Amino acid sequence: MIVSIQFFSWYKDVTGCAGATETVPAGCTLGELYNTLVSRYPGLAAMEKSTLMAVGVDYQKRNYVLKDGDEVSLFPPVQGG
Amino acid sequence: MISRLAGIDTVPNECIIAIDLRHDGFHTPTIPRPHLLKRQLTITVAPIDEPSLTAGRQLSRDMGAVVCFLGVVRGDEEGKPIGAIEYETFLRMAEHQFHLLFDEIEKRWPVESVRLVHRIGVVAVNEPSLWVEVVAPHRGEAFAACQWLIDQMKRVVPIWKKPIGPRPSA
Repeated sequence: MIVSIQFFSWYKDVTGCAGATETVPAGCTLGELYNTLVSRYPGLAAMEKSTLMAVGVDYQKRNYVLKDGDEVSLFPPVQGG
Repeated sequence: MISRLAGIDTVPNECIIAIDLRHDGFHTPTIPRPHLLKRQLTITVAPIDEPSLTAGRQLSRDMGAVVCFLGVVRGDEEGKPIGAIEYETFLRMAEHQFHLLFDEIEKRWPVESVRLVHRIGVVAVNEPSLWVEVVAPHRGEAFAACQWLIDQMKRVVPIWKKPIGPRPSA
C-alpha cells in the first residue's frame, strides 16, 4: 500500500521536506508508520509525545490501521489565535 | 388544530408537531425544533475588516447578547521582541475542525450565530489575527460559547505560528 505524508510547521524544517510517500504493508498502523518515519527523519524522535497525527482531515490514534491512499499529516501542537 | 389545542399558538418559534397515529385520542406532543446555528468561517490572508464585519451582523428579535473577541499579535514572543507572526494552516482540516466545534456549540448552547475570521500569512504586531462573534439570547451563553470556541480552537484547529523578528531600524 502507498500512503502520502505531509509535514506542517517546523516539522518541515526537521524533515527537510513538506511531504513524502511511503510503501507500507497491509495492516500497518499509524504508530508503525511513525516509527518508520523516525528512522528516516531522526529529528522527529524528540517530538514523539507531542506529535499530532491526522488521516485526511480527522485526528487519529496510533492504532489506526492505514488504508491504501491514505493522506497522513504530522504536525506539532497547534497554535491558532 | 390551533383551535383544538389551547395555547399552541403561544409556543415560541418553530416547532415540530408529532402525531401518534396509534393513539386513540387526539394527542399531539410538541417537540422543540433543534435550533440551527448560523455559521460563517473565513480563513484568509486579507486583513480583518472589523467595520465591515460589524455592518454585516444579523440578529433575530430574540437575541440579547453579542460577544465579539479580537485577538491581536503581541509585540513579544517568549520574552523576545518580534515584528510579526506568520500563520500557517492545513486549510482543509482547519475548516473541518472548526465546523466540528460549531456543531458542538449548536448542541451545547442556544447560540443563534457564530462568525469567525482567522488570518494566515504574515500579521504585524498590533494587527488582529482572530475575530470571533457569538450571538445568543443572553450574555452567559454568548460569553461561554465564545470562550469555549477559542480554547478548543487552540487545541484542535491546525494553525501554527512562527514569530518574525523586528525589522532592523533604517
